[in-house]
Amino acid sequence: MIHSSSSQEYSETSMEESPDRLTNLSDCVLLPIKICGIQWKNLRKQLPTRSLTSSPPDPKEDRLSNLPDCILLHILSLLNIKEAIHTCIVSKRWRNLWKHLPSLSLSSSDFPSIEGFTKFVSQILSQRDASTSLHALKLDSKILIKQPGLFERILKYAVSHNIQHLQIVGNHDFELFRSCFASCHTLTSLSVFNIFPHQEVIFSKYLNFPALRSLHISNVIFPDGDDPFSAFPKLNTLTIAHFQILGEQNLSITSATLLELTIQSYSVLHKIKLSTPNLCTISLIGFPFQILSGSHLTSVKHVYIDTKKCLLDNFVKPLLGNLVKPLSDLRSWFLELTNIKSLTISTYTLQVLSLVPDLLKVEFPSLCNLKLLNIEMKPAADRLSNKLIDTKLILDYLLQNSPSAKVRFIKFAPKRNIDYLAKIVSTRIRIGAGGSVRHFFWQDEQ
Amino acid sequence: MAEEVSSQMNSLSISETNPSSSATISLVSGDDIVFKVEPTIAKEMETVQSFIDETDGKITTIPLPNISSHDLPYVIEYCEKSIAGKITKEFEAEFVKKLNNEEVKELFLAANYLNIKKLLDFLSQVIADRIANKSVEYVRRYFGIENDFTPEEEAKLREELAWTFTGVDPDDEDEN
Repeated sequence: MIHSSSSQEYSETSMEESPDRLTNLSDCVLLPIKICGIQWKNLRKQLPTRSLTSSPPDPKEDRLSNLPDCILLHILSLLNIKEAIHTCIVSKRWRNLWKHLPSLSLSSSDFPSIEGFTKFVSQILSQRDASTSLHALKLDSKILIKQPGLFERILKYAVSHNIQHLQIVGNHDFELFRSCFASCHTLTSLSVFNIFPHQEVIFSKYLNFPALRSLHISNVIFPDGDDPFSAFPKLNTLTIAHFQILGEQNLSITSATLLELTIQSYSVLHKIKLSTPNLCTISLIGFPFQILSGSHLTSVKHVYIDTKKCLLDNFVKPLLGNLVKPLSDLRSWFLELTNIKSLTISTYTLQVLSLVPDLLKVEFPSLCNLKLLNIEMKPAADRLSNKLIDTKLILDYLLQNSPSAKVRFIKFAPKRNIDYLAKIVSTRIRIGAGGSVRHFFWQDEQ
Repeated sequence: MAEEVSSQMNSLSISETNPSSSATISLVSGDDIVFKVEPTIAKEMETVQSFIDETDGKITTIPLPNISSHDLPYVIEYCEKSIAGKITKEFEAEFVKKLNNEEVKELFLAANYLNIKKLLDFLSQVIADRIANKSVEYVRRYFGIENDFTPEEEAKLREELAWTFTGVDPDDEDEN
């Protein structure tokens, strides 16, 4: 970016001239300059731009094109990368604009051949402005596994340009991550979505991400007894989805910094051991009946459980009897979670629980600190609503030892945020003194 | 369209006839129409709020010469929804349906001038959607940019990028 000393003088001068006089209403005529000054100052903090050299408030028809580069780059970043590059023909000012894009999204599906994609990526990397950081990169490619050279070049470019957020969709090789990221102190979030469910890759336990705060991985294989996240000193948020564990299916998750853990799994055989003294939120999605164990889980405040709808399908129902054992295990696990304040379960989960035979005979642990039971309304809840009366029993069952808990209905949010409370849109069920459900209604504000 | 706008204006109680509500902030559009808004609305507008803060709240009448009385109600409507936490995809789709290209641009400039980040982000996406898959000529017209390349320079640039020129939609009629 080109700094403009003259424009800085312009706005700073206007800032200094006005303050005292502005308290007088008769000086309101100065306000436009004042407000302009604040505005430009803010923008200059974000990104120094060439456009500040252009003369201030121009005739209306030119104002949009006189916006600072950072604003135009924001719009360009929302376009397909090819279209963003096309804008270089618009005018001389725009010629090099795209080369300063701080985020890139590259998808091989936009190209008919591997060669085309390789050439395209090579051009982008060599033409980009070398001094502009690449803060965010999304790579969507089925072919990267076949092009380790290209993949490595992209990763190394990203690391050398201060990459912060990296998202990879497609097949990949974690070995390359090891060589590229071991000394990367800028990468804070990494998502790796393997889109080939039957081509899982082994998650290397020798990975090291010094600055990583958020990790999302899917379709990976963990070796038996692995403890793969212990070397991530800043990890706060971890999501593992659709994974396999080899051998006896033991997996350890050890992290002193982990605050939020999401496990999405369709196996009832995983045995996951948590050593996470600061964990605050646990989410279990899928068939949430893995055998979980852990110690010192008193830090956990929020638990979210969402079973998948397919558990309600007829062919699965006969299997539900087998869930009593895992549920008993879940119960022993809940015994560790004496401090949880909110439990959020989806309507599907309620339905599944209501179909489990002899559930009510299983003793449920005492969640005496529970303040809130959220029921997440799933899209198909209407179809199932005639059965919701069954869930009244389940609610009573879940809340039998939680005298101060309130029940609320929350709207299903496809991309769930951890802040459950913010998503509450509906009214509550009133819980009587004995914890039984007296009133049962909800309304949808939308 | 005119009816919609005037009904919005009524609901926002424009005019100087209500001096009792001293806590409200008066925003004066470029064509000298006063819009009285709650201080919470002003908070959404960083430029306005920082001005109020710097004068210790002594001044509650703020001229916004770059924003017309046609555009300001839209900005206020968006801020109201934002405060109420009711910015949904449905609302945004309805909101943008009411706006032609020129109005989108004016609102974008207003959002930038007032430094309302959410509105700026939303309108950035709207503009991106409206220039997506359009020709370079369309983008020039949209942003009001004069082509300062010589025909030779432009031809050379296009030649260099020939491999990226596929699947461009035909231009829409400009709605100006």
